Amino acid sequence: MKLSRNTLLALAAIVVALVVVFFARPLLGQFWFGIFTLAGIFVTLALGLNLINGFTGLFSLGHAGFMAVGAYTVAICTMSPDAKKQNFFLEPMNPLLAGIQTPFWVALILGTAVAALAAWLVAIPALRLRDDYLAIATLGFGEIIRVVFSNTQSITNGAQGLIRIPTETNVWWSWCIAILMIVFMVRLVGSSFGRSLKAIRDDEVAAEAMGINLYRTKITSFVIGSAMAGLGGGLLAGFLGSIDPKMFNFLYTFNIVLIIVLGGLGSISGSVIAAVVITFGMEWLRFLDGSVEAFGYKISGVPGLRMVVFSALLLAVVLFWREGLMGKNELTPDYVKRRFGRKPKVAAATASASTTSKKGDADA
Amino acid sequence: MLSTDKLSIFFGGLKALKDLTIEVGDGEVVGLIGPNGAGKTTAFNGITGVYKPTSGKVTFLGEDITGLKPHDIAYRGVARTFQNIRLFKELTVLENCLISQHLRVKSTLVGQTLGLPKYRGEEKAQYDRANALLEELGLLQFRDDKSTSLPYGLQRKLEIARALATQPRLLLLDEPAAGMNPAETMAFIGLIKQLQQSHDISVLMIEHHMQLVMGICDKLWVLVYGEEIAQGTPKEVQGNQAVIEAYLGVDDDETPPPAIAQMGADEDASFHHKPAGPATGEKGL
Repeated sequence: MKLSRNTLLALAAIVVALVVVFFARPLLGQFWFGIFTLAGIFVTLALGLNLINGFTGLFSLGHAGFMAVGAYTVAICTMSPDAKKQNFFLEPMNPLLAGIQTPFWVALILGTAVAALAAWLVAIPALRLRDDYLAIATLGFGEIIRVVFSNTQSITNGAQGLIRIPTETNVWWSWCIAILMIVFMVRLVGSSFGRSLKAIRDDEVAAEAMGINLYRTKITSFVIGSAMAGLGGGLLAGFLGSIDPKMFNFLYTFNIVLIIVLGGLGSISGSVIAAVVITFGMEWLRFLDGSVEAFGYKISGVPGLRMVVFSALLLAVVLFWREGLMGKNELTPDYVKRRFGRKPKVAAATASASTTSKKGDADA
Repeated sequence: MLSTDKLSIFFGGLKALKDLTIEVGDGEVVGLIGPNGAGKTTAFNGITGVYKPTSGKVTFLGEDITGLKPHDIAYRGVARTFQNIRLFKELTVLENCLISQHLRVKSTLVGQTLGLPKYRGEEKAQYDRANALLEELGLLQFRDDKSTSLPYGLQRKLEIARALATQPRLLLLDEPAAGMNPAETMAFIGLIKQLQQSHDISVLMIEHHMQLVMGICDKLWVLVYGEEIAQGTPKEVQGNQAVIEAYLGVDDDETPPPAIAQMGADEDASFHHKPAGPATGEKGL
């Protein structure tokens, strides 16, 4: 009974989200519509990192590296041989790769798979480490991937990057995959395997004593999360139309870390909400980078000033609001009832209905 | 069921455990006692694979399990509790008991994520078993509470429930009655006996409560400074001169101190005397 109610609510939320996606362009206008598409990509990226950091408790900072793997795979697979010739003017492209051109969805699957493979190779040595050491090791591996991409001229076109990537990522691609990933995460985290991840996060020694294969479980989680990074990176390549290795430096990882910390480590809905809010916020605060006139003073533009706002926000959260927006909770009717006090039945019903639609908005 | 053969664990030059040879038979409750730092928890860690034994052999159900990983040993049917409670803190009482059944799940990850019928059946069995265990240990009313919100005594019980959920043949209890008062200890004796019967398991326990050890154990091993100084039935051990000396210290001028049996009545006196000597490396998990 309870299960079917929750399933119905979830389906309703998905329908609402799809309706929002459908009406997004007239609602938001051309510019914000683009940002909305980007937000969907960030949802996928954030969920991937939250699986590793929030649910399994592995402090990984290599996300940007795996995004780069996905992005480059998609770019190389979808670009026409003609566009490739144009790009690779310093050194001709590897003939094996120069001829291929696949549909976007094949490229996305390949991107995800290659990122998963890269993650697996990184995980074998790196996941023998814990805590800060793991963070440093994954950060290093992420950077290594980037440096390799800047130097493999005949495959990635090196530091010049790639332009004229077919911009196949539209709002449907970005949000349908985001919704799919949300559903996938809910299912995964709620499964027996998902519980074993949380057990590792809470107490490794006890988890191992209860028969959980630490090393294998950690690797599985890391590979799945990084594969989602590859998927998000692939979507990003198809969204932006041009990529270069410098784009995927570790600052990109920190953007996603910011999202999952603000949203709540170990909360799917928290990551979704934070991904949307921060993607929009990043653009909305762009005026800070230009010159600002305040109280009669004119402050000339400081590029990157908007990032200071987010740094301050992150500091505040870490100092005063450790749990982030959602803590480890999910935005379910039960949570809303618990959080916002006991209400009369009718009010509670409307409240949960409105949250569902709010969740839909957030999802959307 | 379980036997160790000259199990030794050294930390550098420190001999935390030397040539421990114990034997736990089918359906037996065996006690491992000794003063603080005697190497009891080290022995547990050696048996369960947390520490790799320096030398010696651990045999469980006729199979050599020396040096296997803890999760492999758990899978073979050895479950344990911890001296300092190690519950999964962020999770509920019920989830704690579900997690320790994960090792028996046969469904693949894909099957679990998609919720295929096979996995749904397994999950239902997990819930049923967890609920039954929680009911048996009187924790059912707390099943949706965060595990750390339970009072201390119930957290210890939850650790036992969680260990039993792995479907073990042998249960290792590391000071399960620590912090219990005499009345609770008596009730606890009954509980262990009941669990031993209803789950058809053997029990190896480290315990400081003499009352409990004497009341429940079929056999005892006494460790001091990592070495076995005595073994036998509780009666035999009680009268053993070396044991009395180890516990109460020995004074050359006085007559030997009273036997251990009386210490049960006067708990506090029994372990505060710690023979001077090198501190051992035992940290306890």
